[in-house]
Amino acid sequence: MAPRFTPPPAEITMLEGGYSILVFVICFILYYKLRSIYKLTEYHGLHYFSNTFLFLGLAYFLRFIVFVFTHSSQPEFDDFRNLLIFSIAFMVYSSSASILYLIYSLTWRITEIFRNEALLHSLAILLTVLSLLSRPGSTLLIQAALLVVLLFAIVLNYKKYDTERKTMLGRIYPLYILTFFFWILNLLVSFRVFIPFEFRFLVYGLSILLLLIIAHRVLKKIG
Amino acid sequence: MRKERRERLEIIYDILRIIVSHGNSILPTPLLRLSNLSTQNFNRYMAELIEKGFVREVFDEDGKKYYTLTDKGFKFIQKYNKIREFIEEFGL
Repeated sequence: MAPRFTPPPAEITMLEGGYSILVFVICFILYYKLRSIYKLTEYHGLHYFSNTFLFLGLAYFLRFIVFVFTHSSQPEFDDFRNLLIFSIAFMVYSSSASILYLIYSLTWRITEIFRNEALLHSLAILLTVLSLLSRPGSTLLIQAALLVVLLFAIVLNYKKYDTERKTMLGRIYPLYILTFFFWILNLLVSFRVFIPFEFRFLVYGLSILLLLIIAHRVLKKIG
Repeated sequence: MRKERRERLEIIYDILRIIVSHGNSILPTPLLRLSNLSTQNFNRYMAELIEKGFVREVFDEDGKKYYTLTDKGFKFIQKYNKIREFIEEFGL
């Protein structure tokens, strides 16, 4: 008899699905609004910034797919395994591209390198391959390393372009870091690392809150 | 500190502002001079602004060409400050 794919309990799947759809919708609204302003101005920073949310939304959606696969009873057949690997690869690629697009949006005015989108996607593919070939857990480490690079990009951006002399904490930067920090925490849940249920809810709640704060600030200005 | 090279967005805004500050009607030659662009770049920007519907050409009785802002151009000027603030606030 052929092995059967058994999904996780329905209520958990619905919760995860609802959460992923909500995050995806917030990210898509942000992408759509930013894109419309980019079309009007053709300002590169807006292009990179809008793509940050396109890929972040995609990464959250793919995280849900990975969640369903990893929390299902896993029959030992190749098709299932291939689908899981394929989903993880796309999730890591989308996540890396999202962080890299944010880094680009903060640094593109400093050097021409950060205007090369082919390089960005090549890097994202390279990081995906590295994640898949390395030991389990390396995905989280690679994403955390990207977060450190993002931190450097923020410091560079602040030093070069801050004209209002606000402190770093008084600007949007902490929201960038927290959004992707919570994204990495979201990844933890996908990889079946033991996480208490209350902590999972806290992570989900705060992830949505952070995106809503960003959406509010974006829509207040250009909505 | 003043940036050495104006960004595209800033150039478009400057051109539109110059037209408005001249009673929303200006001849090409003074606009070219005040916009501080090369003739080639000026023509490129004006063609784009006309194509986007921000600016239109009008001719007087003597056949002289003037540039004037459309409603869309005025809306862009209003929105520009918000976009600029947004770009600065988000470090883009």
